[in-house]
Amino acid sequence: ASAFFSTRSSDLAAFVYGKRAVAGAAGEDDGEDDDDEEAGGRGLGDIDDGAGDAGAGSDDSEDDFFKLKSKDGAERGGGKAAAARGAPLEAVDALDTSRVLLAPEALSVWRGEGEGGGGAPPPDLVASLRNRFVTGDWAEGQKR
Amino acid sequence: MLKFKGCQHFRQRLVCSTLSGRPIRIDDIRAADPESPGLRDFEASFLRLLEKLTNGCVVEINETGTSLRYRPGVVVCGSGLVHDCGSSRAIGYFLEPLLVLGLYGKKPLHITLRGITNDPTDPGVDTVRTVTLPLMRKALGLDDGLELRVVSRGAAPGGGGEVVLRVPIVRQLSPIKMEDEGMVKRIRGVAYSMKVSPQMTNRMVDGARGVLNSLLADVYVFTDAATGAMSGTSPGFGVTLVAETTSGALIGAEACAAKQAGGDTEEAGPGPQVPEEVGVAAAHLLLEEIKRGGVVDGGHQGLFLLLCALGPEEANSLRLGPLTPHAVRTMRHIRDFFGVTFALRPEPASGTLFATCVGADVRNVSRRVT
Repeated sequence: ASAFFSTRSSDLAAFVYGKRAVAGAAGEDDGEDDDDEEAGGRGLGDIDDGAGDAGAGSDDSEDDFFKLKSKDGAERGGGKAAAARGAPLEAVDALDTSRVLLAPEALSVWRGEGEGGGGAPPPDLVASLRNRFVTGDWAEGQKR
Repeated sequence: MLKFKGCQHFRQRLVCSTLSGRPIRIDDIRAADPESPGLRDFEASFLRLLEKLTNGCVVEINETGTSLRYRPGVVVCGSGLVHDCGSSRAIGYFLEPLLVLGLYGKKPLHITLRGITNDPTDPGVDTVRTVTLPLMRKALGLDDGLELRVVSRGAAPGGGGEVVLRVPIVRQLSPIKMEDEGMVKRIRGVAYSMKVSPQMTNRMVDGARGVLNSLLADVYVFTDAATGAMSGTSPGFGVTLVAETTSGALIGAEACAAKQAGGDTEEAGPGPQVPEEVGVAAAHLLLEEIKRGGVVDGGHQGLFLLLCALGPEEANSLRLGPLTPHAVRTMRHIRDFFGVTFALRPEPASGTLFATCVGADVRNVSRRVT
């Protein structure tokens, strides 16, 4: 999910609007290949990709040659990988909920190493958030 | 007639169809599911709710329930409405579309919803009450009339909760400009429990505070231990946390115990079970949302993008964190229904993006002209 941001805004627009919601629209099928190339990553709810991606990635290694971005955007087309994941972006029968459903692994970074130690997040992560709070450095916080 | 495939984004398709007046057709609803293709009961329930709120809408469903044709009617709303949300999805599933539809009614909406108030897949009623409604009030300049009252709570799977929702009508939305994230100045929350020891709420608060106090001292989590008739039919507990920033942005996160079917001998679900863990999980989720940035959390991106698109023909802008799949689908549907495209400008330094659009200027046509 951290790879979602690309430096060019056109990539983002293509990622969002590269695919139409309306079924049978022109370019829906043709667009699939372009789509995969342009997508720099996925939304953050898709973090829960796991074992399913590894298999699909090897199939289209030929396509990988032309990709600028990390290949994890490419698996969306593969039906098997899509089914393995919880809520892929293109699945027509995806769960209809607005809530961000993160896999437990996505939150495990916050838990730190010490299992059962009260769940205190690791210090470096806390430090990265420090200036988002009023207790942090206001000058740094206002820069955003 | 717009044609769609599959059941993704079901509610928003119907809402957009109703507001834009464009009939839709959805094919292949769970056609790939060999056991139970077609519409589920909660989707049928949502369609019935839509029939209660509108006049003259036509819903046609084929025999297997895999195809649906919907011709929208006029949004009426009104008071004294009651809807049983069933026990497959939480009340939050039904609340979100109502918040948008209610604004465009002929009369103000006053509806009682019964069902599950908090569950792991849908936004809980506390999130709607403490995050969604204040944000909508602030963004749209609604002074009063937007209210959600939790009469009684109900956990999954039994439900039995009841909430009362009031939504005022508007002539048209005011432009939305939410770009200042601000800094988190306080964290509030609600720890609730139903049909379990009231001590559970305090244990959840302890768990959440243990994580958050290292960053901020101003953390106060209210406790709401529902008992007796106020607690629905199933035991359960959970916590909702809200981070409030200096600019008035609200970022919410919630977690609840993933307990199945009441018994203490049931197999453990994927989520946390112990109250302290639930509190810690909610706190971690909140920190994750804060880290991502944006003026609203991931769960509210879709709603506010939709409100931007419905707004007047001026620049409506939002600052968001990384887009959720729901938000991306929302933007695609907005383009198809209203022809509104968002300009997306990422800001790599903070990892946020600015979404700007010129609204479709959807006005309330059913409102009585005086």
